[in-house]
Amino acid sequence: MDSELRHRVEDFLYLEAELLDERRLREWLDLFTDDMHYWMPVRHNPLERPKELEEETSKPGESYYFNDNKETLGLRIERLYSKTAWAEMPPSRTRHLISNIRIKQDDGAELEVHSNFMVYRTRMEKDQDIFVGTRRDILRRVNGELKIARRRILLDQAVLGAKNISIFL
Amino acid sequence: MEIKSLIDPEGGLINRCIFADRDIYELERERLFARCWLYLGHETEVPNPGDFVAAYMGEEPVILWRDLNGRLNAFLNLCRHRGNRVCRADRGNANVFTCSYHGWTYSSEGKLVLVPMAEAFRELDRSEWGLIPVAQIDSYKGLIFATFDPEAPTLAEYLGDMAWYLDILLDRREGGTEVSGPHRWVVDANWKTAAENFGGDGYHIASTHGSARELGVDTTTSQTRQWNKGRQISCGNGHVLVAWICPPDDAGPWFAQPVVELASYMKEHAAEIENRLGAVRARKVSPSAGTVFPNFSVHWLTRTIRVWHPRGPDKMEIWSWAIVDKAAPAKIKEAMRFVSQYRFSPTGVFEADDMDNWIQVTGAAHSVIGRRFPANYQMSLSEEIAETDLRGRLASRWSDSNQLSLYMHWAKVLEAQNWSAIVSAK
Repeated sequence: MDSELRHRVEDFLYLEAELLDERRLREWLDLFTDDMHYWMPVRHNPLERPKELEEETSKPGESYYFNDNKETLGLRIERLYSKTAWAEMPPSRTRHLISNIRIKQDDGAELEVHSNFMVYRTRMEKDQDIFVGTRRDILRRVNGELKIARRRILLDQAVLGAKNISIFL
Repeated sequence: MEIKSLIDPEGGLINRCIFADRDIYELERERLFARCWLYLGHETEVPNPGDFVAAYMGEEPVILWRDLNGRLNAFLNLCRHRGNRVCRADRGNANVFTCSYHGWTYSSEGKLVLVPMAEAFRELDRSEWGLIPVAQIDSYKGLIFATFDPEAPTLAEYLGDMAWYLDILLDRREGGTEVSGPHRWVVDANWKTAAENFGGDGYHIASTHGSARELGVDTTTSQTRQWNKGRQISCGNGHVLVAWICPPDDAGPWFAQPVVELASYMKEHAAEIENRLGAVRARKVSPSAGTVFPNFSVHWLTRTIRVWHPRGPDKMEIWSWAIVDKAAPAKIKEAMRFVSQYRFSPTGVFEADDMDNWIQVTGAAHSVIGRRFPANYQMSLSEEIAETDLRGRLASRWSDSNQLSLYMHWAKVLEAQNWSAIVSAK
């Protein structure tokens, strides 16, 4: 994998994290392709050590935290700009730390990129949550720019330790 | 402590210490969660012999387990030897559970079938050391409930008129329902704040969920929602729900349905639904949310069911499922699940906004000064109630009647020494 591509991908993911942390959510949505899928399954504890990690996560069509297309994700974002989206009023202060970036595949048109995240959220006086997990993205080259065509977010927690997920991962 | 004195139904006042007091909480664990029928899971989660799901009854970890003969059982998840949990998985299929600590092994009927080094125990009668079963287990149209109290009335008696309203969600189509989930998350709020909210709080929607309404996310199948034609309904035994009365030309109970396919699905099966439910429940009464006492709630409108598991006076763990018609085509089920989870789940555009309210109501119960001033439950719009074809006691939607009957029943259960005292105190 050439280091120039690695730098481009890293820069892209860091820019994305910056937009989220600066609450520039409409600009963040622009980083996605129009046919995007933003998916975050739930996890459970298996009886036996699974052969594949996927065996302990919900499948497409089962339950999920997010299963959004651009329209439904956009509605979530527009809601936050209204005056009565109380979960984010006052807004969360977040820090998206993105690491372990791996370019798994590149077919020329699309890249499969894996990364880990640790997202710190604090809100109001002293609310604190830490969301930790991994992302599996399909990044597409569109007019010389990278866009997110698919994102699967896997949270490490089985029972979510937070009162809600009113931010984006 | 005199529990009933904390609730003043005539004055519409509640002492907010009920949301924070440790002694009250311990009493709830003994007299409420160890006695009432509590929701464990859905039959479609454990269809085959050996299938199990981990659940809770209050703070008690239990295993809902279909035995090898196909019978449903539920046991305390506790090895009779030292008390280790025998099951650490959330769900799966097992013929036996073997305790990780010393290897005591239990069958799906709860029998202690193997004790390593059994010869070293003096007179160990294995038949006396099986898993601790619930006292009664039963299901209502797919929903499995259990109680640790052998004296509790049957599930059918316990649900009473609430079952009639549950049918509007559970019995629309042949085959009933199926669930997906659960979502599980932890909130620093007393479990009753949520139970009371789902049990009748139509009042909070305009303020708490203003943003979702602004964006049109609360659209329903009804084009003619009459906001004022709503009813609080108290079914007795602490079960409460809030419902709308549909106009005569309406298509019947409303569901949150932003996609055209769902609206046509309902139209397509209108005859079957009316055949199963009758005209009143198929077309006239449209429940939105309710609570089966004490901590199981239903949201008909968005097809979610959930349990508010107590985790101390200041904390609860929410377990929430989407529930859909089993007979629906895969694409319709998927659309229904999306409608449900997009609105009600930790990421739900409605539910996310509820949490801080409940957390802060719980926090207020710790305020020394705040506790000197009771909480207000005085809403009671007086209104002619014409619906003689509905069940339960009806009040205006704009009322605290449901909340007060829930808390009156709660006080009665906490004060009663046993089930016969609860029943006779009616």
